[in-house]
Amino acid sequence: MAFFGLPNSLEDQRNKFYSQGALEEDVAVYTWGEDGYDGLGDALQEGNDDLNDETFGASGPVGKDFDFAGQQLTTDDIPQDFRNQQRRVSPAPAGLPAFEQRPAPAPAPAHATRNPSDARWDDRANVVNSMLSRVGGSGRQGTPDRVGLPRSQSSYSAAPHAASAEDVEAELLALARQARQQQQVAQQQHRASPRHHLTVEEVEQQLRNQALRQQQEIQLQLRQQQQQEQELLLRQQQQQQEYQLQQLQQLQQLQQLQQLQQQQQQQQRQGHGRTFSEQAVVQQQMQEQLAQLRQRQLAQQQSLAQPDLNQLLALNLSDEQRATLMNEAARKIMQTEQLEEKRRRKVIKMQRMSKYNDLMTQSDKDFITRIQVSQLVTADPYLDDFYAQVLGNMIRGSEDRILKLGGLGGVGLGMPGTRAGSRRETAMQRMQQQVERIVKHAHQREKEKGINALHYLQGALGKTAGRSYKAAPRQLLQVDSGPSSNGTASPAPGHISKDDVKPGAAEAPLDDPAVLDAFNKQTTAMAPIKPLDRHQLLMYIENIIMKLLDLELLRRRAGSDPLPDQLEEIHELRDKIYKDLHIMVPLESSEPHPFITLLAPAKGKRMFPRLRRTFNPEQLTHLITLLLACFYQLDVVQHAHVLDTIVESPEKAEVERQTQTFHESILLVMANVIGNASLGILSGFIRVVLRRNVQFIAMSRPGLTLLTMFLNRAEVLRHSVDPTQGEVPTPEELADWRLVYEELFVSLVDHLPMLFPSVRIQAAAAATDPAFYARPPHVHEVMDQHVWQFIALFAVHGTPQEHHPAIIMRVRDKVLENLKAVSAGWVSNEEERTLKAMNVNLLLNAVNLDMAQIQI
Amino acid sequence: MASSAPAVQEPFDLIRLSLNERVFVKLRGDRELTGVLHAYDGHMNLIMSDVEETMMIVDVPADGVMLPGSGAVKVAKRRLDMLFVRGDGVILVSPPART
Repeated sequence: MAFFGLPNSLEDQRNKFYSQGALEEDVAVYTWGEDGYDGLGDALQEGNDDLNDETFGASGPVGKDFDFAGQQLTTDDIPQDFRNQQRRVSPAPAGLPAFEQRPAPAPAPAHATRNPSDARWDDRANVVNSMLSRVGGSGRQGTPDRVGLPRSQSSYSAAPHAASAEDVEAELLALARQARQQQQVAQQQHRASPRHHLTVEEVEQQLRNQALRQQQEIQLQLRQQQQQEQELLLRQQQQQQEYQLQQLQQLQQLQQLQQLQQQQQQQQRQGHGRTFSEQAVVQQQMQEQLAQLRQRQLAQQQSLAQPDLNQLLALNLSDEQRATLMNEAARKIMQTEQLEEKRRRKVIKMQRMSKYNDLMTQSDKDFITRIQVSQLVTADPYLDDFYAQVLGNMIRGSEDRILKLGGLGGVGLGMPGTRAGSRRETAMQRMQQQVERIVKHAHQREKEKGINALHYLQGALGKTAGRSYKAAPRQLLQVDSGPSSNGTASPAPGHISKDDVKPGAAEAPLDDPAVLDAFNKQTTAMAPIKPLDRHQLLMYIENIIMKLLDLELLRRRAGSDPLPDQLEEIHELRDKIYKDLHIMVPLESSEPHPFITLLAPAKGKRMFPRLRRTFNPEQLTHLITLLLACFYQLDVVQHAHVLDTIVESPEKAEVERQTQTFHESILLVMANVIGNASLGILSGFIRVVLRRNVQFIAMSRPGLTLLTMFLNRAEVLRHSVDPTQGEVPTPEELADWRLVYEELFVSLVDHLPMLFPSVRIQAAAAATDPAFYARPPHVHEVMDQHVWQFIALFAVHGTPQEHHPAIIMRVRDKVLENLKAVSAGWVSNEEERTLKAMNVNLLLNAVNLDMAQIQI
Repeated sequence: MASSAPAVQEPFDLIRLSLNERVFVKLRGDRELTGVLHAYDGHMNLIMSDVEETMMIVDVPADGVMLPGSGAVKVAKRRLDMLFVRGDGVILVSPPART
């Protein structure tokens, strides 16, 4: 401690000792005054003590006005002589345990090291002690005046948490002693003979006897001494006040007891190590105390009654006064007795019940309550039990409080509602939430059962006999026999947005009246239906094929000269097939159109050529028009992008196969039809195609082939000069064709480069692979061949002034690429080289140019 | 357009729907086929094209003890352009699972 001048550097001091060889071990051994004393004390400077008295105030009266907490002395401030003195004090004699201190890391409390040899220091130390005790921070346990203080009762109860079992026991014992003393005092004061411990029955008996006696004596006494009445009343009041005071004290004691009990319970809950026997001991003590308390109460009661009687004996009252007094007294006695009786019963009850206190832990109670609560939830609460009905009422009554479980927890503990720990509250809340959840789930399950009532009733009558299953086999297949409108939804393939599809009402007028008629009819009936699903579609196709086979059989039977009824049969069958093909279903009713869906499987495509042979020209025109109008919906057009890759995959192979089939069957028929069409019909066909996604159609091989066929036929017709063929176009038709071509040109000219599969493949590769330009994928020229043909034809129809420059400008890159490849030899073989040259030349020739004219 | 779709009258009608379509056929002896169905008869004899046959081969060790988890099951595949399947081996014919 710096104040007493102990050197700050303890290490120095220690080293000093070590250097003198006094210490060999950890604990300092001081040999001052003994034989082995090393004379360390003599080495100390003893001089300059003159000012000590002044420093420590021994010369005059000590003032209390210096504050050490606010202003601590540093080592430098302390006079040298004081420091010397300290040094002398520190190596204290070893005989006294209090002095046996070594200069430990914690500075030694100097006031404890009282040196008997220094008498002056003694007084000063006391002064310092008193000052230290004032300074809160430096006060320590060994302070004499604190030890000297009698330990009060309150200091026990002040620290209940630290109390061990022994503490509780001691406290209880002290309390009991106190109570007994009080009781004895009361007995000595108010009773002649000291009473011993009484049983409850004895007490009761005595009380009753006494009451009787009292009444008798009252009657006797009432005859005497009226004049002292006033005084008596005064004294009675005084005594009543006294009694009330005593009652208050008792109440306080009772409360104390209850607190004790609480503490004890808390301790029981907290202290895990506490055994049952300990609990029993505490319990017993408590019971004792309760009994003592009761006895004391009785004694006090008696003490109240007894002076009353004594007083009354000395009184002389009139009859009326006597009567009233008597009545009053009797009433009072009865009241107190009743009160006492009540209290006693309560105490006894509590005592009896306290035996079971805390046998169950809180979690046990929660668990049981949860079990009970879980019993409340059943499938049908109304029929099952009473509790569920109550619960239902509660739920309907107020949603926020399903179960008031808070009150349940305190029952049987003897202290209702006194301790609602936060832990239990949370447990209760949790349980309430659980109940709510359970109830909610039950309701939900009920609802779900309501939805599929069939499953709900399943097994309601118990397990059905296995035999009945065999006797009546269940229907395994539920095939919808209704029209296509009943079909389940299958997502329409393709990536065409609805905006691309123009309404059917805006259909271009066709030259063919039949086609016009058909479209008019279609626009009148516009009921949206779902596309055919795969199952329906397969079913229709099989049916159509069967009918086609039947029809062909009929035809074969009928031969070249059919009978009328045979012809009728054939026509009937033909109309049925026509109907099954859904050709007359409105265009916009579904996407894809049912007829287009029927063409999706390979067998659907294959049946197409047969249809052509079957139908009459009108029906065939409908068929072709529908096909053209919905051409973009065809699977081979929708999935054409799959082919724009050089990576082989099962999907690509499948699309390739379908496209091949399409070309072999449908496009072959189309070529036949187109090959016989007039220019007017051709214009109509192209218009139908133009209305719907012609760019998209052109990017597929079937679409481009179709357009090529159109242009080819138109070119043939334009230059047809043979009037005998009946195909020479009229001037109106030619004019119309020019319009159609202009339309087609505007639609397609910007998309010309993208028609090349090689361009599309490269674009896709560039998008996915940034390193594409380093190694461009090799696309065989065969893939582009039909595109070159189309563009050549496209150019042929155009005029050199307007159309050719635009076309050449768009495909310039492709042309140059091919020319470079041909000249620089960027080809895999000679065959490809000639193909490239041929393709480019085809186009250049169409615009009246030639490869040879172009200089690279 | 009140044309009524034809109803399925017998189980074979379902197979008929798969004619010229790719089907999955399960056979006895842990064999499976996928291919295009071309023809069938009442004995479930099938004619298929573009067939991929998958065979599960279980290698039983010499001591005959099969340990669980020992990769003794091998899968062998082969492709056939055209195949006649005798009906007594056919367990199941179904359309291929579409993704």
